[in-house]
Amino acid sequence: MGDYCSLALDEGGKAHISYQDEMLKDLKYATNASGSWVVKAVDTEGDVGTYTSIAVEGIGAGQKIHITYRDETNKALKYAYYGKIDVYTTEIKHYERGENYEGDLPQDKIIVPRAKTEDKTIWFLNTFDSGGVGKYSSLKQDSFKNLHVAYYDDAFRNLKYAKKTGEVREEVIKTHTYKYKGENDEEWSETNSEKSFEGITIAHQTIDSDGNVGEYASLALDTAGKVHIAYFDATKYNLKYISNQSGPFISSVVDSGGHTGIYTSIAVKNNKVYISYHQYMPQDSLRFAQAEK
Amino acid sequence: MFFYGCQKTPSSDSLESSKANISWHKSTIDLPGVGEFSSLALDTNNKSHISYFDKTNRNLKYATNASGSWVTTVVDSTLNEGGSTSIKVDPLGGVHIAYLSYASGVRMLKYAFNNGGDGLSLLLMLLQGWGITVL
Repeated sequence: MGDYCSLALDEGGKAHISYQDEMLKDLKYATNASGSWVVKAVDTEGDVGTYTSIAVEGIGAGQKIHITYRDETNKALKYAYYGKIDVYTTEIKHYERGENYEGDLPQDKIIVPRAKTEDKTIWFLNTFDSGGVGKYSSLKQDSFKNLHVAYYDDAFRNLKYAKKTGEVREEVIKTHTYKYKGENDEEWSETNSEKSFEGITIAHQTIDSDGNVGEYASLALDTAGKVHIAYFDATKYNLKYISNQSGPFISSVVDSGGHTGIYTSIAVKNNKVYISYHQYMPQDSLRFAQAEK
Repeated sequence: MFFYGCQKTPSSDSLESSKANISWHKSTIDLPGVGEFSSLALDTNNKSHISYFDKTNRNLKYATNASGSWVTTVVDSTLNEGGSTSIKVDPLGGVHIAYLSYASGVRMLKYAFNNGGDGLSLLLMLLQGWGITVL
């Protein structure tokens, strides 16, 4: 167990780890937030849970967990969320006249306006993108709680980027049907509930398509919420970097010569960009690049 | 637990200007046969902490420049095979690493912690070693 692990710390220094259970091909989540380690199977549908990346928001009862990962069965980028969501309910009341009933009905249709009726804590699963994507997902959350994900499109061999805005909520439409057979004599009533999850918007785009690029993607955000991504150019065997710090995404080569730029990991702080990566040739080594923007 | 420390004098490349007008300073931190599955985190002093796999010796390794120059240590030497490391540094300087271990035919998720990664207590970090948990 434990392939494709990703670690995040919450504000209390507690660990949250996403990973694939390699034997069961499930996405799992482990945390010691309660003081001892607890493991949860998050997604068990098909072969899922490779290339995980995790982000943690808040602490305690209001804590929220965000995980991106690859669905190998459907070759898609998936998203798992754990936390509190709001539930909104709209009620519709129908009144029907029975065979022997000739009296008045309360009203043919009454709609009780949509209102927040509860909140609850759930695991929520969603597909962010599909069609041969989702390897090397790298996730970060900005100060506006938007999620930013870099990942590889192995169908077209491009680097892709997705941004999730909004927060998931549950919408419930309850339809009550009442039928009358005699004056004020309710024969039966029936209630149907339809549930849907709404509230989030996913925008994804290809941000580098120059050759076979995007494997080993690693994403970081600066304090302005601008995106910085390190990744591998498998056509030229270079380490590349792309950012939208100045507006549109602009890519550049960080390290070239030989075979360099796999297993990247990027961090950004105080207008400086740091990247660790592996060089296979000419020196089989751990490398480090630093730049001031 | 197993650890040792060694001072590194990274070989430094010249600055390279890219078409995005960024000057990168690049250096080799450790070699040979190391650096796969690297993961990077910054501490509150903007110092770097890197976990990575040593495929030659089948170790999980850790590198930091928290003291001013790069230091590398072995975190876990019990791996037949390893990979998929992920590192974070907490605000108190504690270093946390989640990683995959494959030993004696068993694949495991492991978690290593050392509370002395803030540079000033780097010696303490080397002396006390890493607490390793198998999940």
